[in-house]
Parts: sequence; C-alpha cells; structure tokens
Amino acid sequence: MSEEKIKIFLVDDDAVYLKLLEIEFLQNADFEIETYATGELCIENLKNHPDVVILDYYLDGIDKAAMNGIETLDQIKASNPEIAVIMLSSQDSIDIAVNCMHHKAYDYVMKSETAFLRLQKNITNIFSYQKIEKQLNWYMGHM
Amino acid sequence: MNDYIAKPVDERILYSKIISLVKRNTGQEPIEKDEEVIKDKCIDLDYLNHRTKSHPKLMMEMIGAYLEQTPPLILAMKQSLIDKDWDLLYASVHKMIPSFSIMGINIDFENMAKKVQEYAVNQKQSEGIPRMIAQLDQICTQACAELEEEFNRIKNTN
Repeated sequence: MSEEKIKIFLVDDDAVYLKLLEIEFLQNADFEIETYATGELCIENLKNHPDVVILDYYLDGIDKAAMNGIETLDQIKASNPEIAVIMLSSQDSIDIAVNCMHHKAYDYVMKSETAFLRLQKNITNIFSYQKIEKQLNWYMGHM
Repeated sequence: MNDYIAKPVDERILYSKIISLVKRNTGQEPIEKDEEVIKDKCIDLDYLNHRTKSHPKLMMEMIGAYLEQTPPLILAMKQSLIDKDWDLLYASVHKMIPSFSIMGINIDFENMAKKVQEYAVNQKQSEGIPRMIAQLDQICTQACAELEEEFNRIKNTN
C-alpha cells in the first residue's frame, strides 16, 4: 500500500504568486496541495491536517482587518506545534526573519525565482529530521 | 533568428513556439510591421511558458489570476496617492512586485515599484512619486490588455 501524500497548505493573498507556487508544487513534486488567500481560511481548514504550511508574512496589506502572517503562524502553532510553518516574504529583512524565528517558524524564504527550490529543500529536511527523530525514539524505547 | 528554445527541449514549449511563428507568418500584414508591433509588447511569457511547460490550462489560470488581481491594485495605488494613504500605497505596490518578473515585464518597472515602496515606508511626499505611479499605471494597464489578448488566443487555439 502506498504511503499517504504529504499535505501542504499554501497561504498568500497574492493570487498570481499563489497560483505559480501551486503549479510548481503540483508539477515538480508529489504533494497534496490546498491553497488559501487568507490566514483566517488557513486556520479554519487546519482540521484537514496539513503537514507543512507555507505562509506569506504580509497578509494584511490591502485588507487591514485581515489576520497577518505572524498571527496566523501563532494560531497554527497553538493548534498543533508539530505543523512545520515556512514563512514567505518579498522583503529581505533581518528583522522579519528574526521575528518569524521567534514565533517558531521553521524557516523564512524570500519570494524569488529560486523560492520553490528552497521550499522543496526545506520540506525534504523537515521530513528527514522527523524520520530520524522517530527512529531515535524507537531505539530509545527498545534499549 | 525568430526565436530560441533552451535544451532540454520541452515538446510543449516547442509546439507553442512553432504555432506562434506559423500564425505570425500567415497574417495579412507584412512581417516587418508585425515584428515591430511585437517589439512594443511589454510582456514576455517565456518564464511563464517555462514554469507551466506551456500547458494551456495552467497558462490561462496564471493570466486569469493576473487579470483579476491587477486592475483593483492599480486603482488602490492611484487612490492611495490622492488620499496620502502611505500604508495602502505600500501594500498595493508590494502586492504588484512579484508579478512583474512572472509576466516578463521589464525589470526597470519592478525597480520603480520598489522605489515607490521605499517612499511609502518613509511616508514622505516626493516629486517623483506621481510620475512613477503614472508609469506603473500605464505599464500594468498595457500588460492587462496584452494578457487579455494572450488569454483569448490560448482559449481559441485549444
């Protein structure tokens, strides 16, 4: 029986970038993808159990009442700390990067032509780390 | 040379390039005039063709997303200048920036949008801002018109 596919949520209010990212993921890797234009929709759908969330930092630009990226990140982590969250931003800012890390993001990736490759590499690392952790726990339990 | 294709050759990109060349040469107008029009185009869909492997449905979805998102952003950008709403100006230009390279629009306009963003962060009026916003408005409006044509061309040939 084949293993279940890794489920990824893509969250961005920029519909063009969101669509491009979805296409990249669907064409180049075997993932199950769900896309959301707002942090609120992402939170509402956490019941679908994503393994990884790729989240835009600046979600409250046009709609000032919208939940921003950090608030969404906090709510995801409060709901399930095991969900890995990778933050996306157009700005190359150390302050934003540090802020994301303080809020327990797995990584911070700049929106650029190579963003997809970096995201893919991050996802591979997340799952190899989780695999090693599981194996370690198994061995510890059998010692 | 009329066009080029990078190796390894993707048959769908090759197919779309052949179709566009054949269509161009069967028109009523002389080739020179046709090529002059193409030179004036502000969009270049090479990047998008590469990313979508020229898949018509995916191309249409990408172009459709741009056509839906960009006109309200242009309006927001212009209105925010009138209202001196620097946060909205920053947000609308910020949201436009990734689309410039995706749609193959000259990098000068992306840099111009980044400059407007800087001014908006500092929340200060500058003489150059209205001119840059007018240019961004013009290029994005032109891109929308060209992309709409492209959308219909893909729709009608598939």
